Amino acid sequence: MPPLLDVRGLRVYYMLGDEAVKAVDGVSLKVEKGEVLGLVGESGSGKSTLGLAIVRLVPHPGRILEGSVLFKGRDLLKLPEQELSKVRGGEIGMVFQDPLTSLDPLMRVGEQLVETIMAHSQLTKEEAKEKAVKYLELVGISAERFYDYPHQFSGGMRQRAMIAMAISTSPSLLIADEPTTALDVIVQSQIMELFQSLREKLGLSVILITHDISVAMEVADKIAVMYAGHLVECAPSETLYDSPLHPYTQGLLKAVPNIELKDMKLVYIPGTPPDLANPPPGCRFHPRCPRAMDVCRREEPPEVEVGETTVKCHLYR
Amino acid sequence: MELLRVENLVKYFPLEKSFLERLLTRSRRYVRAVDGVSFSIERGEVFTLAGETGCGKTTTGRLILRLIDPTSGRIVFDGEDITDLRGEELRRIRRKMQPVFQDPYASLNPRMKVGEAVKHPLEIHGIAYGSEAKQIAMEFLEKVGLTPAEKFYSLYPRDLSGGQRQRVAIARAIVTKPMFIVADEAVSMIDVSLKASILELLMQLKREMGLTYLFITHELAVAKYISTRIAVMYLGKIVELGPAHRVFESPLHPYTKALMAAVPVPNPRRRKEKVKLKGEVPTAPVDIPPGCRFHPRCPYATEECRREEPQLAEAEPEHLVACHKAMEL
Repeated sequence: MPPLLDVRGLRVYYMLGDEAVKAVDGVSLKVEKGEVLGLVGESGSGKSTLGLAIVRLVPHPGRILEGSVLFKGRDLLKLPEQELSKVRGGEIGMVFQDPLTSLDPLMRVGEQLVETIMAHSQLTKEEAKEKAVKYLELVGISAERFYDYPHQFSGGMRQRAMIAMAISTSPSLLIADEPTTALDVIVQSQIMELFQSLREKLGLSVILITHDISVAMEVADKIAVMYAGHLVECAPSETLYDSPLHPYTQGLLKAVPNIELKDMKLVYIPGTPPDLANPPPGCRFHPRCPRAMDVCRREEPPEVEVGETTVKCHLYR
Repeated sequence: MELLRVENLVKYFPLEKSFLERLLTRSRRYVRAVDGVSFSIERGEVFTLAGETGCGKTTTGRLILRLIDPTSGRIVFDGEDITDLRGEELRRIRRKMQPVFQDPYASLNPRMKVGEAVKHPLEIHGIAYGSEAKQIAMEFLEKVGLTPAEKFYSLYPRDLSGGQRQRVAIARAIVTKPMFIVADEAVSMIDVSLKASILELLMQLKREMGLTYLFITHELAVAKYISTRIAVMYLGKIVELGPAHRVFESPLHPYTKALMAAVPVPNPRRRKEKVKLKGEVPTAPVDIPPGCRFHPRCPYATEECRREEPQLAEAEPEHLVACHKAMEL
């Protein structure tokens, strides 16, 4: 069976004057049905741009230059805008970091949900309302809060409402960009549990975009690591944890503070991520890489398959 | 030797009333941000205040820095009661205690060269002027790892990465050679690959300059790496306080336990059963529950917890907890 989502060779640049910021530079990625993919990277790695490019929402002055996004066999990059807008918010749901900017403050939460459902279906208002109540309950908001305004909700409830809205159109893919970053840890873990249960109940595929590899490790089946516009490693979570192959992934896993570890050693990756208007030649990680070779300074590494892992590194050629 | 002591520190912020409320009622309502907090910090310690949004940790830090005035309580710093200091006396104290804040994008003046930003406190405090001050500022840029200092001196914040900006903020905090640093979420916005390098810098400066830290954070995993002691706050009160290794290894308060269990661990096999907590912390603590503040969310709450507020008491040497049930759990 072909994957639900198949991104191939995607290139997205931000055009700033005569400079091009190479935010996503040749990324390929697959998401299977019912799979949770953790898309992990630090600020400026291109993970959010990738998420937006999948549904062609890259903000100005960003441009999708190359590649294809096959969703259920159709290339979303070639779809007419009208058809795409049915997919976006329909078959593909989206959840962003800050629910307050995504919810209309002047409209009751339940009514926003009804509006969304009606925009993507033929249901009557009554039917849509019934469905809205059902989805609110599914994400853990009781029906009596239907007529509340967003400001009457706590941060966690707003994010739940956003998730209800995103899944109310029965999508098969949910793209969640830092959905818990603005929330406290206890609420974060409640929302992560919600994602798990939705996946089980609805057979939903999820792309979870996060800067926090720990969050990804807790919920994702597969993790894709981005660095400076490149996808450097992609593997099942346990494989990535047991045997990370890319020196960046290795460094990242050592740098993550772990509340369960007794051995308290502070490790970090020297240097800083490159300027994506002028990325270093060859492998973009080579200036910070402890194992950089001559070839790394000259040639962009190919994507190599090692067991279940795909890694973009000269070490494994 | 004690460097700082706060006694029963309280800070209430009055709530704005609506027009109707103003007509109908004379009573004022308050956000009880800090509601009776006491602790002391030893010289050379890294004392951490941890907790979720709205628990009062940042307000406590601002009270100690005397950026805001307490409603009641006492702050004793370096043997001196600084609670009511004003003007010149307050400035004298400020030279000895400096803040480092979360957002290096907001805490640096975008129009000021970073070297000037580091030099500025020297002139304000009358420590050095002109080329002498510049010399000292360069020394401190070097000290925080921004080398070559000549180059960094004349850059603007926009030319720097987040990590480098935070180094500037740290240089500015230590340039007056303080003894005490209040670091409020100082590494929270730093990317994980660089976070440890900033923490390491803070620890190195602590050794070199004999600093004491009040480290305020919501990131428990980070706190674990650097703290000597930790206090966990909930709705304006400390619920647990003790040596960091004890609190992390065997937390006593149900809230601390839930908080620690909720921290994600970078290990896919540790999708553990978590202590389930109902609800969320109210965003502004106005209507504080009677008895134990945590009882509406506590899985172990009894009648006693609903009635009587537990006091912070020693459960084992130096390990304090405010919970009626702590010893039974």
